[in-house]
Amino acid sequence: MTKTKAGLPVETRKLEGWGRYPTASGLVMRPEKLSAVREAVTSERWTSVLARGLGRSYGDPAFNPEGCTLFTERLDRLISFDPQSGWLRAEGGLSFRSILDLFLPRGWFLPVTPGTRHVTLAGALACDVHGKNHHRDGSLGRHAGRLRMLLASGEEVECSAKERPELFHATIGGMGLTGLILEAELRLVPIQTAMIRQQVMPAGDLDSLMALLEEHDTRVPYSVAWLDTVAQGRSLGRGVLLLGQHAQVSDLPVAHARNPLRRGAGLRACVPVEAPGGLLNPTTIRAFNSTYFNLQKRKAGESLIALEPYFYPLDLVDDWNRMYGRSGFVQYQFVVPASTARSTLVGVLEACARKGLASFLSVLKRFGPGAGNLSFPFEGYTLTLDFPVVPGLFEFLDELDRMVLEAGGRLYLAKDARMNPATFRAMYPEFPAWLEVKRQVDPHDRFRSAQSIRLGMHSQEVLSR
Amino acid sequence: MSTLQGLRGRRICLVGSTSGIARALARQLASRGAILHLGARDLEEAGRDARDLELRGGLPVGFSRFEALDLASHPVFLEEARRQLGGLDCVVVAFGILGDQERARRDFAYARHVMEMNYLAPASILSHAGAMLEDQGTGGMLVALGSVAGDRGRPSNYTYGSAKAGLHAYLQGLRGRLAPAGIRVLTVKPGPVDTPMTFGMGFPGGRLTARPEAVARDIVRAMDRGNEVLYTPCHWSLIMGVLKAIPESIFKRMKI
Repeated sequence: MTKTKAGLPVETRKLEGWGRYPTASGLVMRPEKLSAVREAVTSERWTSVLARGLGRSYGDPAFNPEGCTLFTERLDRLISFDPQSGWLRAEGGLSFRSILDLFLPRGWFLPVTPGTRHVTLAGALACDVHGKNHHRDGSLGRHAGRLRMLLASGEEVECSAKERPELFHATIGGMGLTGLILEAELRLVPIQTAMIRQQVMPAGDLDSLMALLEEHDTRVPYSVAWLDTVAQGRSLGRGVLLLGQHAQVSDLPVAHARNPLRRGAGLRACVPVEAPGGLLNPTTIRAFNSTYFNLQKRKAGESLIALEPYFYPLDLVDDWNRMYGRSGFVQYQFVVPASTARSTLVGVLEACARKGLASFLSVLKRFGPGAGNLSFPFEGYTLTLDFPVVPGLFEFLDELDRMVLEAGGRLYLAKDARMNPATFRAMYPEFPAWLEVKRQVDPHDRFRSAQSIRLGMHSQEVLSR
Repeated sequence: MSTLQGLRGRRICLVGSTSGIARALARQLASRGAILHLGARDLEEAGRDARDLELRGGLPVGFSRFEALDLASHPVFLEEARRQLGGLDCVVVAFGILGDQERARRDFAYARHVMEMNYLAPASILSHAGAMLEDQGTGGMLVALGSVAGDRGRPSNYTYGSAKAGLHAYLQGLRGRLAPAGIRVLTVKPGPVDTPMTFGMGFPGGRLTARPEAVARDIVRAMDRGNEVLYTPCHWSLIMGVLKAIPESIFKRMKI
């Protein structure tokens, strides 16, 4: 066991993101007190640090292989809650799961949520996550109030859209590189019930799917489309539009209406061991895509569904990332402007087909206006694909990068494991302005991640070791 | 009232409230409607914990400074806790340090510190708490965190283990003495738990390391049922049963 000066224990661990690619080994600390996190950030025992939430980003943004990675999930205390306005203030390590456990029964829901509850408040803000309501409500940062930041100097400052706005906007989507988010305020939204009215609409090809998205987005808060990446020819881009809105008490059956905030129990499963060679391989993925489309087609229409299975279907399977086997997988999520969306989507789907690559879960969604800086979303279409790591994949993804870049699009940093620095700079034109803010609050690049080193997100040359 | 049946409305003082197990325990007690007072050396942390518990449980939570090695301050601390709680039903003693056995071997002054933190100081606060409950004449409960390390001395941690063994015996005696007054005494013997005390020792995440939430759940259940000795997780009862049965002549040659 090794300890810091004040006796804070550290250990060496294998580090990886949710996609389990890439992996590294590095020092880890898990502060449970403010004094510990303050000491860790300024300690001379390591040259750099990075805060990690629950490690649900996919590639390498949530670990630091050369300094110390701070696991923050136990700094998760509530600080205040105003039941009139819904403003919650809490420590950055508080998980969305805990927020739901504590506040769903009181009639409050997250203003924006990604597809898993296993993220922390600070981690979600650092990635500026989006949800199925982005077209209407924007990304998470739009619903944040003040942040309390621990800077590289050890100084603690508050920032918000009004107070130190440059720091605030550089931190939202800033991948934890501007400082450590000690506390954050988030405005929860009131709900009447813990149920969602879901509408399922199949679409036989890409054009009709995009038309459905455009038609219904204006009227429904939650919308996302699942895409069959195996279908070819006239069915290319066929999929299922899944619309949702919070059910009102009057929508519920009488028996349920008496206790409208009751949560569905939900089945749980887990992937206990590494799937040998990957449970998900091209054959099973192909079979899944066709079967899923036909199943959903039969479910077309409206139904009532419990809130958590609706937003977090994959949370029902613990460690589902193990299904891809030992070599891991990458998620490839890009956004392109509406004007170039159709041609890019067709190009990407055809390229996948040529390469014989099918994606297990592929999601198409329309984004509303973006938040600027390093925040990922902007107005247009976003497509998410996932691929097991196989030989030749990265060359193929480089090819996709070029298509996305030409279309004026960009990749999501929270899912990136492999893009190159030049691509990153071209995709994020606001990077120089962001870097200027980082230079002011972190002149010696104290906050670094494997990703920030790979992409050169620093004012100085920081070499990967 | 001899147990904390239901726990709702019970006035509980948690001593050493910023320890990993105490924090998890406090959240579960708060969510079950217990009224809490926290004692810790780090008042900034205790204050933040108290606010968190208030927002989770919906009841006010007090806190005050507790200095384990300032034995003379223990009765004052308990008085303050009782005053803030408006009475006292239960005291949970959850502080302690694992210490570094290597250092304790070379530096007996340090060994003495480990012993004081894990035996002398807990015995002192328990003794005062027992007397206070007895004076009140309303029954109640004492809970203290021992350790499986106190069941058998091992080269790797016998300074810590011997102090916990002393604490176990002290609690046994206290249990007998306080039984006529309707006061229960619960000795908790956790195995390794994934807290700051054990982080970095190579076993967190391993099969034998428990999550603090699971240990806290076991403690709440034992408090509710009025148990006397709790091994948590429960398989440690079996493991220690076997280890205790091994003759000393063999045990001394075992590398465990």
